[in-house]
Amino acid sequence: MLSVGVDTGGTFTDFVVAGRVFKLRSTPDDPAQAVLAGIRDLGGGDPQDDLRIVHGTTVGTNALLTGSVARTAFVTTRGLEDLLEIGRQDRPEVYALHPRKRAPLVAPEDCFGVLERLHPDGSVEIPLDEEDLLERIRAAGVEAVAVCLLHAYRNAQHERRLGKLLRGAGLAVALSHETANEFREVERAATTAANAALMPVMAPYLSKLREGLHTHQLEVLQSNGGTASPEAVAALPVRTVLSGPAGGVVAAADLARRHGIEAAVSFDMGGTSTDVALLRGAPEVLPQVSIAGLALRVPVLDVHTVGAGGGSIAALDALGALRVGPESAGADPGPACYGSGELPTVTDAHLVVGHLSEDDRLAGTLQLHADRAHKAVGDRAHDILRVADAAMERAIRNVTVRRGIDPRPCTLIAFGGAGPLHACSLCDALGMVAVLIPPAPGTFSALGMVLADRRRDFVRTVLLDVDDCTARMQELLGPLRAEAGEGWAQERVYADVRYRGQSHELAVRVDGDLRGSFHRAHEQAYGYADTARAVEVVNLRLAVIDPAERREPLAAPVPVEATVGPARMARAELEGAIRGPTVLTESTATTAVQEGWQATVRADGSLMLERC
Amino acid sequence: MSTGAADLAVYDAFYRSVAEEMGAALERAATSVNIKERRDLSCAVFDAQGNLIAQAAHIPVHLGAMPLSVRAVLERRPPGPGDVVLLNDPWAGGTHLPDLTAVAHAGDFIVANRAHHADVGGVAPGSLGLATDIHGEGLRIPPVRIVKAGVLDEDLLDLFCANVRSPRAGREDLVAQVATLKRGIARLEERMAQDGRETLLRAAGDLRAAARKAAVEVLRSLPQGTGRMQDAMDGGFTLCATLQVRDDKLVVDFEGTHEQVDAPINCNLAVTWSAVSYVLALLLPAETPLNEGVRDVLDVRAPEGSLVNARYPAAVAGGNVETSQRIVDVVLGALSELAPGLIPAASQGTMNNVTVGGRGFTYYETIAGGAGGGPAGPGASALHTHMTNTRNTPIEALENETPLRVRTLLVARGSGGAGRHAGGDGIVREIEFTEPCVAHLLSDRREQGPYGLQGGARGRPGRNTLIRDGEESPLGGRARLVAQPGDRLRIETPGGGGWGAVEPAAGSGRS
Repeated sequence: MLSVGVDTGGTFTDFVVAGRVFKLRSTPDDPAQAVLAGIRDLGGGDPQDDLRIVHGTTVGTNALLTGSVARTAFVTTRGLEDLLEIGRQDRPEVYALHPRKRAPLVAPEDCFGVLERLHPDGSVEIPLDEEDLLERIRAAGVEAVAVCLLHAYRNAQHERRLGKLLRGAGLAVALSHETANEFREVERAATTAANAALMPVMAPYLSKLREGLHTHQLEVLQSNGGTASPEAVAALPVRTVLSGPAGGVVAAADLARRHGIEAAVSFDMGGTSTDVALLRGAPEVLPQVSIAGLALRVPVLDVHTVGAGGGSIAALDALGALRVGPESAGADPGPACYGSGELPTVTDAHLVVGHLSEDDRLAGTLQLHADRAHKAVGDRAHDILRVADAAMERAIRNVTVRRGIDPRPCTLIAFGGAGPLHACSLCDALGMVAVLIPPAPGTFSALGMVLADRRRDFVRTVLLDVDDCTARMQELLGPLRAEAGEGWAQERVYADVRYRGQSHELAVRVDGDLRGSFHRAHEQAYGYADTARAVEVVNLRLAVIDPAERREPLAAPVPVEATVGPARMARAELEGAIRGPTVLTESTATTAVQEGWQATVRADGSLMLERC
Repeated sequence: MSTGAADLAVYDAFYRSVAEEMGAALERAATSVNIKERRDLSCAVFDAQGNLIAQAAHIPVHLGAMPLSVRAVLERRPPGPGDVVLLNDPWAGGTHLPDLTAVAHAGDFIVANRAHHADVGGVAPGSLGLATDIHGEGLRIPPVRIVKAGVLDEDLLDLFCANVRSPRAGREDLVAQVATLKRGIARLEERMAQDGRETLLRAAGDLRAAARKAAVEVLRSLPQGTGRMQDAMDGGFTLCATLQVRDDKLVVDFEGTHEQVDAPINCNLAVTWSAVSYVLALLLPAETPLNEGVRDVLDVRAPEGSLVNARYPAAVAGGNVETSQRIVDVVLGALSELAPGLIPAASQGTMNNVTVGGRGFTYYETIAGGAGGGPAGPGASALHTHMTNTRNTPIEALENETPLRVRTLLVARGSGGAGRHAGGDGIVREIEFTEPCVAHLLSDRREQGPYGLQGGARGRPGRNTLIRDGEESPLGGRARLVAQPGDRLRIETPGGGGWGAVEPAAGSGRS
């Protein structure tokens, strides 16, 4: 079956299939329109020729960011009704005259306490009494209900009973032990509430897609970089909140693997933001992400995002310093050179310094206006690019130096519409060795959709001494394997481990000596290990995986045209090394080969940039 | 727009990242919970004269205090190449004793960090107990060279470790503090080699000038004149601030403040500087680097021997965690007389410090309360305000690790003061003890609630209550409790003050 990657972005919806890429304008009010139109363009309207469509969606993310989610009730143990509102009690901005807290996903009047209580070991202290809960929730007029009871990760029987009661009444229900089965009630409750509030948003979107796709098979990319069925995603929509950036990281990891690169930084610079990830082998999966002021316990690829991209506006701040972003010209009006905006952006600066030209057609269609760019930017083009580079440099230092990793031996994998323009100058600033630019860098994230494995993640809190846990490992994994079901090709087991008394954990692959692996991981992350100290396993995690069939789109180089100086040629026809400074343009992105750098084309169509 | 505009942005990012990377390295290398997980640490870069260039402070109470540490070091024991000077003495650059500061020579720069240690001795574990003088609070360290020409002084380290309750963590944290300063030094040297000394120093000067200019612009946008606010901490200890906005200067004078007391709520001058700097930071555009340029416009006058500039041998442990909140309140209150349309009513004015010790465990945390209502809208509820921002301990973590049970954690509805924009509500947290324990409470605003402004009402004061055999008995704001199994401790935190008079209901307007 042929696979199609479909990546919905703010401006364009990108499609990748069997060596072919194209872009359609996104339809933000109804994202399914652009997706279905693209599939029809592929001739996929013919139901005889079934396709496997893998979709990266921002429907969940946008609903959380804009607050356009379903009205939701929250049910918890009596005495703790305000869990969501109180949260972790810290404020997002330390120096604010009027400190604000994000409004909780659930209004205080829609929060309900039930009479019940578990001891921390899971035994029942106060049996559940549903009383008139159902009537009260019905009276509240909500679409969805989130249930999070204290210590439910130890014993889910009370949550299950409430689930049965509420689902029986036809409500969309998220139970905390099914959503994020791990201890620490604030994050578990927030994740459960976000999930419940997204269920009535995600389900109709997925139904619409499936209806429009007839017999084509649909899979959705989750934040963990793996795909899942629409049914699984409809039940756990909160697991798609980082679906967007995940595709690029998956694709970059695959590219690094095929080129035998051990340490790389994935650098995906788009119109409004830039996503950066450290790659040492497979991308790392983290257990938590913060989005829209919510700390959510969902497996996510380890991506750092900054609010600066090609469309970011350059302006003087109150200090008199030149800043780039986070305000963006977006797609409308877009950078000044697009023809309707007036404000200078990074893209305009590139046009002024000659990295882009009026002859280019951005995304294959967009006519650029050099005069408008010159007018907006004036003599500040180099300054704008310097400041943009400084912001990008800081993002890369964030995922390397701040974690104790030396960026210099890393290869920068640069993509997104603007990534290849900044790659050389960033490598110079950071002392990195090389740049690798994939074919069709502007739609590389959509390729990641096709390359992603099917994957599901399961977790349970155990809070056991490491030896005890190791001895009982198979028994403890039993419930997770039962949840996952049979028929998966691979499984990976991880443990969240800490020294007793610490309040945060390190994820360690369970593979032999868990205690030893933890000491080594601690040594690497923090510079010391304390072999005398008691070690505690907090959570066990199970990932089950079906690897993607990597047949068609991988080996086939994507045909693109490149311009070196004035000559237009296909990237594959470039012979030998091209020395900078020069500019290579192609339909989805432009590469700036800076002074002191040279570019060569590799067998798969990738460009390798190295210092001369 | 000159090239200077790009340089400002680029070098602002550079100096900040030097401080941030030292902080990240210290967080990784330290071992104790306070540094690693509550992130009670700060790192900063100074020029060779001790002028602050950039600081990464997660905790506002460190903000204004670090420069005083570096000044003290330059006066008393200036570090040479390869030297690191250590201190915690409140009268020689420190604040309260658990905060240890390390200061190193870095060529044309000085780098420094500060970390809150788990214990530095004294009458109570954690060194935040109810002592009556500084010697009951732990080991006092004047500026001493802990590293001399690159060699760590093991003798001094042994002396330190012999005087603290967790010598192993103490040693590791100290070594981490000293070691991670090197990262900042390396980063500065590397950039110096790339861009040149002149460029780097000129950029630091430009950043200072830009910050000063931003601060002056803010001051000039305020009505010029004098504002005054007097308030009292529990026990009737007066805090008094007279504030003058004079063109390019903000003068804050604490004349009239109560003299220092035999309780651990005195502040040394550094903490008072921090609180005033914090208030100014609230007024500045968000991107302003909080460097020497901001300090340039401040003139802090605190009478010696008072609560806000205590003399040796005052106990100061709670100056950082309680009194600093109330200093912010009186400075903001004084400012509100000049700029009534700008300043919000008082926030909870305490951190509600709770320490519980029992068999094999110690539990410490602070509890949020209400923020004051203000011209921009109602105050936020259940939020940490002003000089702290530490997170709470999850109930499920607490119950798994200690014999404590959290029976209630709710927003104290209606505790915020009434007003056109009501104050935010406080919190009710009720803890049950299932084993014998000893609890210490260090809290304030139990007598009089946070003030309202422009006709808004006071927030409800906080309240500490012991519930034993079904009977409630009140506890003071600063209290020690020997708890028995079955006892409950209920802590109600203050609501914020209201802002603006409540508008009369429709139809009841003046005729």
